[in-house]
Amino acid sequence: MIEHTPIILLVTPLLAALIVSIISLVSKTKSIQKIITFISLCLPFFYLSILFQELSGGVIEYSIGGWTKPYAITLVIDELSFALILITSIVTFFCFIYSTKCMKENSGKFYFFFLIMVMGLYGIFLSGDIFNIYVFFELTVISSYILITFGDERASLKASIKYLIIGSIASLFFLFGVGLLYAETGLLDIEQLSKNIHLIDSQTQIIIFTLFLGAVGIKAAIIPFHTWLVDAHSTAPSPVSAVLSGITVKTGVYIFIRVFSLGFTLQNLNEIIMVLGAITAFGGVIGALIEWDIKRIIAYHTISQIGFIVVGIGAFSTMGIAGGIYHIVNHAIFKGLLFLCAGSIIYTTGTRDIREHGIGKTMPVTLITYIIAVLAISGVTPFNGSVSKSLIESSVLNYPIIWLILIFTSIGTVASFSKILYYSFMKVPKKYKSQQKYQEAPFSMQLPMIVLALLCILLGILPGLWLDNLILPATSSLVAGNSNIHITLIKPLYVLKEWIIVLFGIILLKVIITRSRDIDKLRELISKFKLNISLFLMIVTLVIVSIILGALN
Amino acid sequence: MINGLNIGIILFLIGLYGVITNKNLIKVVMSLSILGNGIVLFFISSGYVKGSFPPIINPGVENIVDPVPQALMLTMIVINLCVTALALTIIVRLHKEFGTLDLEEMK
Repeated sequence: MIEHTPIILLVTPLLAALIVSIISLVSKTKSIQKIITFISLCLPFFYLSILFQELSGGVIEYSIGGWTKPYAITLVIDELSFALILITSIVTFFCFIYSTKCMKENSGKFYFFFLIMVMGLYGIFLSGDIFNIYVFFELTVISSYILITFGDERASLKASIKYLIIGSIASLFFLFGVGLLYAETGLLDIEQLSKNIHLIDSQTQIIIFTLFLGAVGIKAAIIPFHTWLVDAHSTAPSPVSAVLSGITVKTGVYIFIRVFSLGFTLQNLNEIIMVLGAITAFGGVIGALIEWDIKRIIAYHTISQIGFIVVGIGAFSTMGIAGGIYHIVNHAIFKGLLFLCAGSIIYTTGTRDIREHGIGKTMPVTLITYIIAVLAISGVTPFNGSVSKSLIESSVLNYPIIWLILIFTSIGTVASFSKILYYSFMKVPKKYKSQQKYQEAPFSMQLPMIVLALLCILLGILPGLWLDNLILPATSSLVAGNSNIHITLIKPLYVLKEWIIVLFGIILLKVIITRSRDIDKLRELISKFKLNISLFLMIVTLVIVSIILGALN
Repeated sequence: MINGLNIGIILFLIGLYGVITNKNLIKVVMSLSILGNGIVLFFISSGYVKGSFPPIINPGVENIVDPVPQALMLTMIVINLCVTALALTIIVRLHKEFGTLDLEEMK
């Protein structure tokens, strides 16, 4: 029984989805559906505890149907996929608890697609062959196209079709890359591909890499492939936004790590990826600074933090990769928390414009958890963001320009989040001077926020918990070299740097508030980018990257 | 050189052109289908060997066509069908809401 745990992990949400859909046809009581979903999202923690004990004996491989190695469809669990499955389980579980109160109607349909999405996410992290990644990715995105439409009616339909068009192009790019790899090597297994990829000549390698960059870039929302993300994540219902921003975007990064560590024998790949990452980090922050819509600001920050992760992976040193993977985990937690906070604020006030909130001190739990999330995303010691950010920043010390861009990005991050803090919580609009009384969100919405906030602090104080057990072993299997990173919690110089960043961020906020009219003009300019133009820009970028790679090799 | 691989790539590029230039959402979905069909053709022809037999095990048959791309493409066609159906459903809903099929005119 124990050796079948990987496939059981995959089948549990699928089976639960089936049961939920049948029950929702038969009876109208929603509590049974909720209980089944709850159980099926609890069970993975039990399976993972079994898998963790097995993992100490090496990488777990499971062939579906018991076929021998080259013919079977394999599920592979190494430390990297285990870490991501664990964080997926945590975030989806708490988002489900949050959604029981937040999603009032359509619950049967909602839980069905939610469970299918969870199953697709597990599948991506589990599958050991490159075509199955495509299949599970399609499962995930198809259910997320539908989940987005549960949100705010008109805008979410538009966002969904936009995401569908761009996402389909990404999947087909990926499939084309897989086709080229198969035509050249006759292999689909990731482990065997990494041994044989150097046999392909460099021209074909450039084309394959460019296709994968297009696919992964769209999935992970690297600028200029990001245009779908902000609309999709901001119009979806808040618990769905939390899962989409926390986990689904990370699957793009995960595929990127897998593809990139296949070992393309091309020159200057690292630099190109780092430049793309730096542009993504900075561009995302610029987008966040000019918005007034709370969920759009947070969605833009997803792009920016993805930029950090991509820079870390592009450095491809032990430190960079470890920082990147740890930042994936941390970002899932604090971005999930931020979206849940935004969800509570919208649930109470009924508007997404931060200038009309004026909550004051009426929602203390939301205020405190929000402040913890902001400190974590800005990378202030002792919260979790600081550890991964300092790892990433120290991995690019050889490239001072990229390091500077990352520092400026951190300043912008502080500024845009303290903008929400200032307008939503501190400033009370004139028309609300009579002080209408808001109430704190229900307890089942508070609980996930409190737990995620505690996780933010826990992972910051005890970084070894994840780094030593999961992430450094994962890194050492990806990069050759020593994996001895000693993380000291408090380095005075770093703490000083962090608080200088916070100080500059608040100064920047002051500038933005005084010049808000110019910012509105800039936002109108950016909103002129239509779907066709952004798709054209994506293709142009891919062509430019392939030309640069061709010239350098 | 006219063979399946090249025609697959050309269909892929035609589909890409269609997605970028069309404003009508139905035409965009049609272009996506062309894009997908290009990939199907590419995969199938990458496993095709001239003058060989179908991959059915019979005694005496030695040179057979690679069956893996065909199996993969069956999966891919099903997924693509699902995406197309979902896209058309959303477009119908959009047309009811906005009364137009042009994404830019939807306010």
